[in-house]
Amino acid sequence: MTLHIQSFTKSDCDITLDSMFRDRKRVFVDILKWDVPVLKGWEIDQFDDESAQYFIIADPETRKHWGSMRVLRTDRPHILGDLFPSLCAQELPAGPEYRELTRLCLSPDLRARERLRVRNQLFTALVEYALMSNIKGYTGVASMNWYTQLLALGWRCSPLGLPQNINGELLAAVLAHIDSGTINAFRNAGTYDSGAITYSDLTLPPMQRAA
Amino acid sequence: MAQFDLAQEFVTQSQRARNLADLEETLYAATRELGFDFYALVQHVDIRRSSNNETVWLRNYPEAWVEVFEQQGLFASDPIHVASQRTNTGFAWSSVNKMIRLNAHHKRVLGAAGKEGIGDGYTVPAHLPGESNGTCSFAMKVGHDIPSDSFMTAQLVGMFAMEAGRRLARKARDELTERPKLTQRQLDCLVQVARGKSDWEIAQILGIRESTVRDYIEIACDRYGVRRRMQLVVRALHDGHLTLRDAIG
Repeated sequence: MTLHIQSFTKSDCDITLDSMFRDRKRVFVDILKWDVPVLKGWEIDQFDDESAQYFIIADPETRKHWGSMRVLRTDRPHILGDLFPSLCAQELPAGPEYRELTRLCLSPDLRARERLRVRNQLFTALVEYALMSNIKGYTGVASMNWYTQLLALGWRCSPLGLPQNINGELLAAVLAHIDSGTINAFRNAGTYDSGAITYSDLTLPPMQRAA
Repeated sequence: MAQFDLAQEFVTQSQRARNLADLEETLYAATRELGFDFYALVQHVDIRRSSNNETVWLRNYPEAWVEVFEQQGLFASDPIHVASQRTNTGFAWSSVNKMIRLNAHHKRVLGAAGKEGIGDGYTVPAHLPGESNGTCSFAMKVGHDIPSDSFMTAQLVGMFAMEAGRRLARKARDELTERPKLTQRQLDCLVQVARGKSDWEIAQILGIRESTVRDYIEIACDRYGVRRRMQLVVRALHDGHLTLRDAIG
């Protein structure tokens, strides 16, 4: 299974991206009932811009989305820094050495076992990419469900603040550290699953962005 | 110490824990700092290893309560356990009636706990769907007020404690199934055995006595719990002491 790392630039339709945004709508709007904008069947917001990176695992035959993570830079607007700064009890890790993980999406079409595999491959790729790019850590805003899963991957994590009730849901800010022991930590936890990574140019149909 | 500092301190210490005993010490310290009396860290079932119901059990509930709980099989009707299956967010035991409908069995369990001196509590579920279910609970002696200011810290402590427990339980399991130790000389002999050499030939190659070669091989067989050299070679290949390169070249 290959993983693609892409970012937005142009206007033609790409089947991988299209199916990703549609799966995001199915997961975050239809299933999780988040109050987020939907545009022509896509779940897309102001952080889906040229500097967002998408780690996507796709079906090698159909090129349709199986799983993805949106990765945001922290030296510009991002979710923890701009929408939920109060979740950090101390200085928020930000800058060129940190990225924010957002919108982990696993296709509802996958069976449970496949979902687990895709998830492990996605996170393994995130770790390997970080090691190759001098990224020291990934931050994120997590529900308690998500927090537990994040810890279970095996990497060393630090809480950035106490959980808070936000619009009826308990959320907390967390940092996952990347260092020379992280791959081994994944291996010990049984979550290490390494594959080929390709970097491709992203293309996107012209959309009217929500304000 | 401020609540968040307590959480950070727990996380740091739990990451340093080398075994479950270390973790228990750290968990107990945090329990007291947060203002609770009892703790119980439990992993219910590890579905990945279905042949093995290994569980993490760290707790300081009164022994009398644990006996009552186990002898009367109260686990099945424990309303806290039932409620904890439905969420990954911590909840106070006083709210359990809002989460599930309490029947007579459930109420009996709560009553029995009260009799053994356990009052209110706060349970942090930390489930991994499809893998294993676990909870970290903090409880009070009857008559002590529950420190609700500590609930959010307890949520973090519970989740990190559960993960540390899983990690250390895995480590303990791996250590149990570690491969037998071989000395360099035993290994040297084994490599030659894998290459089909006779004891006399091995003695010449290694510059030692033939009887010594036989001794080394016998000891290695003992360590693996086998009688025949063929079994020894196969097992040593399997666990990585020998590689195919060693044997075939």
